[in-house]
Amino acid sequence: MINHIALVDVQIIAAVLFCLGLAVALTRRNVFLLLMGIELMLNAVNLSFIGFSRTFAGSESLFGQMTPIFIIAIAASEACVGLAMVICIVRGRESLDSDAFADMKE
Amino acid sequence: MKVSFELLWLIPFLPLLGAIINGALSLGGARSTYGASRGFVSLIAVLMPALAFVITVIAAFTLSGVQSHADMKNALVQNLWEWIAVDVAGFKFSVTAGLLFDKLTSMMLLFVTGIGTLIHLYSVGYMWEDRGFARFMAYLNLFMFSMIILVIGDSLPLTFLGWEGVGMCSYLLIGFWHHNNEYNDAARKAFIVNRIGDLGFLLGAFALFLVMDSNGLGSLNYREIAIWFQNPAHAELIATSSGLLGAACVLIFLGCTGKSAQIPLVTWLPDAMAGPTPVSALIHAATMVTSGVYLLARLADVFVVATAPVFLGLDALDIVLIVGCMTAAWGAIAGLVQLDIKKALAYSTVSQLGFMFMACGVGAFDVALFHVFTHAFFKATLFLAAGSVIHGLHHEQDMRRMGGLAKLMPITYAWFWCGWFAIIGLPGGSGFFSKDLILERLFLGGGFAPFIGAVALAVALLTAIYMTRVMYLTFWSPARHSDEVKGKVHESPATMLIPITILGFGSLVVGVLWSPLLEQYGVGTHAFESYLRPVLGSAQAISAKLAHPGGHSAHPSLWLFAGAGIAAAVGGLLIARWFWHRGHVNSSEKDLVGFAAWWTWGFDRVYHALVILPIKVVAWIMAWIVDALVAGAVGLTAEVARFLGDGYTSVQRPRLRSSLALSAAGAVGLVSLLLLSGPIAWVVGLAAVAVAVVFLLLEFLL
Amino acid sequence: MFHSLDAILGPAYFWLFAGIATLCGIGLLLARHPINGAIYLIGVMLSLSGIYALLNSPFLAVLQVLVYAGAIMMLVVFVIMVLNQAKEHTIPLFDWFSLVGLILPLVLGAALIGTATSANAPTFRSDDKAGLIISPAADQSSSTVVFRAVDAGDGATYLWEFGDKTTGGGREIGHAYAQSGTYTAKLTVSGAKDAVMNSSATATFRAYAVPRGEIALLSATMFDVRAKGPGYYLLFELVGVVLLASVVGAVVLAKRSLESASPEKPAHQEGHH
Repeated sequence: MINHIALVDVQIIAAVLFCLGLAVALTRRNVFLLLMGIELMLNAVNLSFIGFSRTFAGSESLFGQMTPIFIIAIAASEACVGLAMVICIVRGRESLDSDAFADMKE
Repeated sequence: MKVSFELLWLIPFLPLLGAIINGALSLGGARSTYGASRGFVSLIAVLMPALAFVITVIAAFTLSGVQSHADMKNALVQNLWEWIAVDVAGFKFSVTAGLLFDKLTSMMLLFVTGIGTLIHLYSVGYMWEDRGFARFMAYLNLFMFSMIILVIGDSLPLTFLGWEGVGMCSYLLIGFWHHNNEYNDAARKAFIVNRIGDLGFLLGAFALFLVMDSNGLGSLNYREIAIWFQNPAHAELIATSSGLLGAACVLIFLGCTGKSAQIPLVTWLPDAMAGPTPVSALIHAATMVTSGVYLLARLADVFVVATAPVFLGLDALDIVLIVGCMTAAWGAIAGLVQLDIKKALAYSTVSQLGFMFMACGVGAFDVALFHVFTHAFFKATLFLAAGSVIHGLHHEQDMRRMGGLAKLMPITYAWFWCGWFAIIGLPGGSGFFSKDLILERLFLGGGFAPFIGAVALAVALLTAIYMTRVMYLTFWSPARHSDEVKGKVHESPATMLIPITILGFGSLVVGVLWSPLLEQYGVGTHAFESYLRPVLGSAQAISAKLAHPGGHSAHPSLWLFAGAGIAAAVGGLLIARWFWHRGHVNSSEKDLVGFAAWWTWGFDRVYHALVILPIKVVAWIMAWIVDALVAGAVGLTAEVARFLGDGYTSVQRPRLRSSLALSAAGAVGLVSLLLLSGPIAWVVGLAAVAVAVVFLLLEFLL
Repeated sequence: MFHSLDAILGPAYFWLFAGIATLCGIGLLLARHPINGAIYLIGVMLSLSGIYALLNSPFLAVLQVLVYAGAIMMLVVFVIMVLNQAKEHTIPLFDWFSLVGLILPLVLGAALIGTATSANAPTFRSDDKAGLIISPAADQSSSTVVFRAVDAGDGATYLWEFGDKTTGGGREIGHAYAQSGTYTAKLTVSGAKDAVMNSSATATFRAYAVPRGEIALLSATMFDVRAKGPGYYLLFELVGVVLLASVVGAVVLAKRSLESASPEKPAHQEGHH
């Protein structure tokens, strides 16, 4: 009871952050905010994994610690590639509105 | 009793070391204009097989030392490492990379390493001017390694390793001058034809394993195979699986026909003469092509009990006998009409290999090996001397532009004469002893062996004719050299003449190893036979085809067969003299060109009609099926996908957020399906669907 | 007194960081300028790093600051600064799409949180033949499912078959399932004086194996600069924030000096159109 936190609380915070990230990605039109929303979702997943790593004993615990490392690495590369693409697109279009990029169909 | 001999591994390892060093030197010197240092390369290349020969001799003496009459099965063994170890679900199979040095191995190894060393020495002289000298020597050393593994391996898989190794080296060496596409074709042909035989080898080995595995004792180790098949307790088991055993023997023999150029896999050997002459001498005359005979002798215990009819009432050894006879006759007739000196010798080799298989087919494995032994000497002599002729005539191989060389190249002529003397079977030469033994075993054998013997006698006559023809065209007739070599004909260097001399001398005298002549020196009658008896004795003792002393009441005098052999030799000599005596040479050769072409290529035409054409037809049909049906089906699928995709793109919205929202809605829907339950799942799922629908509607509306 | 303070400091830190993270997340959602959004996101990440440290995962906490807050967000800020048109004056903050899109995260969040906080056995069907009641009750603090039967009177014995090949006895019994899944439990009552009660009933329900206990938080001394601990983690985060701020400042300054040094640049861009 003392100096403890309920397991569920960690997951709730993770769920809240994940939904916030999803909301950012779905509602905002600025590409930077879109990218940042995705980053927020990834962070929320990390928090969930770390919470579970404290929940379970044994190998699952290790899994919960290892997976965030991979997610961080992938997020870093994703940010690099995503930003590079944003720079390229913005150079050509002079706009940061993701709705202005609406020609992926063609 | 098995005796461990710790130096055995050096016998294959030393040539391998030479191959590695020379290969590295060859690669290292590839950029320089002259290549790696000739002197060092030749030192390594000759020294390694020579050392292997020395160790073989030591091992042979050691083996004789531990031989006791109480246990005739003694052998030197060395187990190197566990190669294959399978023990799954009751199935056990293990192969040890072990070396087995018994009397059979020692006999084979002595001449493989001995003659091999001499041919290495000869190659130094023959190939000295060639740009790829180091590469050639590396290949030759690699061949020695593979051949030694083939002979010294203690199990069928290990022998197969060497079997493939010699095949690969043969391929590399036939196509050594790879700037000539004809040579490359010859190399490929040899390789592919051998693959067919190798498939037979493998399937045969599997079948053999199955036969023995029926009571859980499966093994591919030679000693265990021999013990298993010699065990009287297994007679019933052998009888019940006789069909499989017969198939195993025939399949293994198919492998032998590939390696030893027997009908039906015969055609690659004459083409293989594209390689440099030392290669022809070493691989395609003395050693590799005899590995088929070696394998039959190795598995003699198996073959003599495989007496169930396999095909047309013939058992495995009958098939060996008939195939050997057909090949011997075919090779001799084809050899009669060749214009290329090396091809004449190649067909002669085919024919002599047929003799060896005839001996095997009648159960006389020791006689077959004796012919292998003598043939290695005299055929190597002939090839090396032919190479010397070719070298002296500046790479002229056509016998129509030879002649008169007896005076110009006297030393080469002298030793070629010795080889000729041996092969046609004139009394005293080594071929006289071995070939007459084969004829004797054939005539005294059971079944239809005497008829085969009659054919073999005719083939011996043909042998004398075509070899004498070669002598006439090359040495005895007047010179017909082309203009560019006229006056420049020269005798070969000492490095080439020394090996010829040793081998030529050997081809004269090694025949006495199986003759009563040595009796007075304490070696005993038929030294060769008694040497091999520990390995082959028990098999030959129960062979139904072999005539056994006492079995036949009337045993004709040996002089009868000797006389028949001599008559054939002398008769052939006289016939040839009548045909190709001075003056007849040119006109008679021209007449034979068409006939010669037919005989040389007959098998290729048969293959073309029976194998290649049907495959082409099937390939054409398959191509049509693929083009019309498969490609059509694929195209139809693609069209359907394209149609559906076109329909879908009208739904797909360009907005980035729409795509994101739709995919998120899908993910949420999946979560509701898989992870949630109860009313919450319904609410979430419906919400996801609703969001997706609204997004689509908005896209269309806005 | 210090002891009791320590006792509440752990949860206090946790909820503090959780609150900052949530607020910063909302700030990100409502940010007008991407730079503001980036700074909010950095706030989320630093808070998360603190939570990681509290959850006894110091390596990931450090990695979070170094890679995420340090490298990735730095890159984002840098790119936003470099691109001139980073303001979204012309872009409305929200539109119809946004409002519809907001439904999805709301529903998902409600479902997740609802599932996480709901009873351990959210669904059950009771096959109540003989007036017996099987009540798989939820226990918030553990993964056990509690089974309770109605009183069958004196002399009755209760046999529970939990559906995972284990059995138990007694009117009320808790059982922990080793694996999540749908189970069918069976109750058999025998020996009751009232013969009607001697019957059996089954219930099908979903049980979760997730432990519903608590996590021990790392001692708050990680963040405590008082005598009891090193408090280095707080220092580490502070230094990280200062470094980040200095880099952002350097970028801003460099951009200003670039813009003042090359006044012809906008003209060039105009010409490019």
